[in-house]
Amino acid sequence: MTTVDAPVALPNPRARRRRLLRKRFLRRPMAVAGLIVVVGFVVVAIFAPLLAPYDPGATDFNALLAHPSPEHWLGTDELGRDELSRLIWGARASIQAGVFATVLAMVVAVPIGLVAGYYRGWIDTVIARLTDVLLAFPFLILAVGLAAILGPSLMNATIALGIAAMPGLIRVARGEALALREEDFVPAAVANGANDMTIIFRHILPNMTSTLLVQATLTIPAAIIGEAVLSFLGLGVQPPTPSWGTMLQDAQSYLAQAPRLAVYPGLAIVIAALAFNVLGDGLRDIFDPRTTR
Amino acid sequence: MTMGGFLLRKVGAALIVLLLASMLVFLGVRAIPGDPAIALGAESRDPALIAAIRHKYKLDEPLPVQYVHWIWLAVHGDLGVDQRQLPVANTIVNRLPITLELAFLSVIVAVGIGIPAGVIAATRRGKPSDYAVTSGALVGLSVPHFWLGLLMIVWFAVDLHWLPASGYVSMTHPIGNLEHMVMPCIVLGLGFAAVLMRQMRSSMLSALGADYVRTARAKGLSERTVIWRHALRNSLITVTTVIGLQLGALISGAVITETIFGIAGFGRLTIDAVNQRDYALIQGVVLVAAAGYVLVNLLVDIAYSLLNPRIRVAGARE
Repeated sequence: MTTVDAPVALPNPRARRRRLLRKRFLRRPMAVAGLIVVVGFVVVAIFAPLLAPYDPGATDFNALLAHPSPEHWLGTDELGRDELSRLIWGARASIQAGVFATVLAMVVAVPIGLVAGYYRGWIDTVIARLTDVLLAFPFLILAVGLAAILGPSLMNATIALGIAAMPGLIRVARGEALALREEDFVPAAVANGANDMTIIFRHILPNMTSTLLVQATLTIPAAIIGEAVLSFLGLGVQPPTPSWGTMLQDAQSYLAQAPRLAVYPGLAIVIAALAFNVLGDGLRDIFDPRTTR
Repeated sequence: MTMGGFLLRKVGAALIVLLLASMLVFLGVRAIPGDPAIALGAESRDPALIAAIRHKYKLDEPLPVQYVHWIWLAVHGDLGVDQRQLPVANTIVNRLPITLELAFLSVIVAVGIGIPAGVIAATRRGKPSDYAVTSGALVGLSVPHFWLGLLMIVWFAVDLHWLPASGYVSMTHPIGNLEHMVMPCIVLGLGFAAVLMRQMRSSMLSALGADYVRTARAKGLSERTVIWRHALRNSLITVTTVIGLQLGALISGAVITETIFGIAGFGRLTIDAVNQRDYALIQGVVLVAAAGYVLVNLLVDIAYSLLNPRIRVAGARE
């Protein structure tokens, strides 16, 4: 048996494309900054127990609504809980809701969109109508309803956010599948004896990874804001678990005495959402240099 | 396809969507834990009373019968009574105008900021003003409305005492009404403006690259005429659809804006209905919200096809 030497020296087209993308990415300072902040938030969320200076639930009745000081960098809330520690722990709920809602939406929506775009015809029509039905329920109404049925919790809020993100993703996946099914690699796969499932998931799906990656990056910030909204309304994370939304709800009663309590959690949401949005926009430009600027 | 056929198809599709949505609402409300008969009987445990209520509201019938009964009455404008025995339809009709005013003013804010900003960004592509507008929109997308609302209350109501922090004054007192509406509609309108601006910029950019714009320039028309009469008009068509699709976000935004600013509108009613576990009210509110969304999008679709006849012929599906 003869062994064939791997052509190490020859440029591998995939590696070359990866290198090209990396080069394009590094040329965009905003996108790089977005990535750094995103990674920072994920690290903070994962290592919250190690990073937070205090237990987020520990109350100190000698320091109610305390101003920022060396002991409490961002001050304390109305129960004397350390604001910074609660912000750090709040990142967990945010990232968790953002990532899981997006994953849930992707796992359900992408196969549905692929099937609609690949088969077209009546399947496409049925899926289009069902998507319209889903769209007819504004996300907050949907989340409110789900909270009424299943009870308010971070998990149920995440499910509602995931469902709300589905219609948009179904449309994107369908559009991509419609275009990709006309590509030459589809008849080539058919000639090789591939069945529909193989074509859809082995040939079409991998070709839309970049689009899906961009969509995911842009869905996460919407879900992060959604989680904050739901927790603010009492439909998401339940107190005393810290979340940026519940912190803002608490702060609402102390707007006159301690407006800073309403500023920090909001800034955290804006920075996290902005970082993901900037990263998503950057990724879109990199994968498809024709769009936008 | 003829206009009549196109209309028929669009209306048919909207009706199917509405029917499915109503079933979903009906089943969803049935899935809420608890017994509506007990809730309607003011938590009474008297079995005879509960049985009577059950019979009166047809809660003892099989689900499909209950559904048909409910939808039949709903079509005739009867959404049942809530826990306080008030007709749900009346409550909704009383609250809806407040939310419609909020939505209308917010759309004005959004269009007033989003469209000019999008045009400026597209016509000065790559220049500092484009970057300023584009970054502003990105920030606008990342700021949660309710937080902006809280900050505005801190600045303009608590610190400066310029505007009332919460409440609503009916439109019969226009000045008081506007005073109470300024902050809510800016809060709701700004996020929407960001979405509109991004859409406007990208459709304007593609319009500016189109053949008819080159022709218009070649004819010697001034740049102003080319932009405002030709490119803008055509890009507005796409933007109309975005306004329709954003209606859902607008309803969600109204719920939270009304909560923060203490406005007793339709959005606030939704939250209250859920908090009080008022089944008939939840059912009615969600049905009306869904129907409103479907109706507005149907109108947008029709307006879109009137503005752009090619849609009727070729891309009737998208």
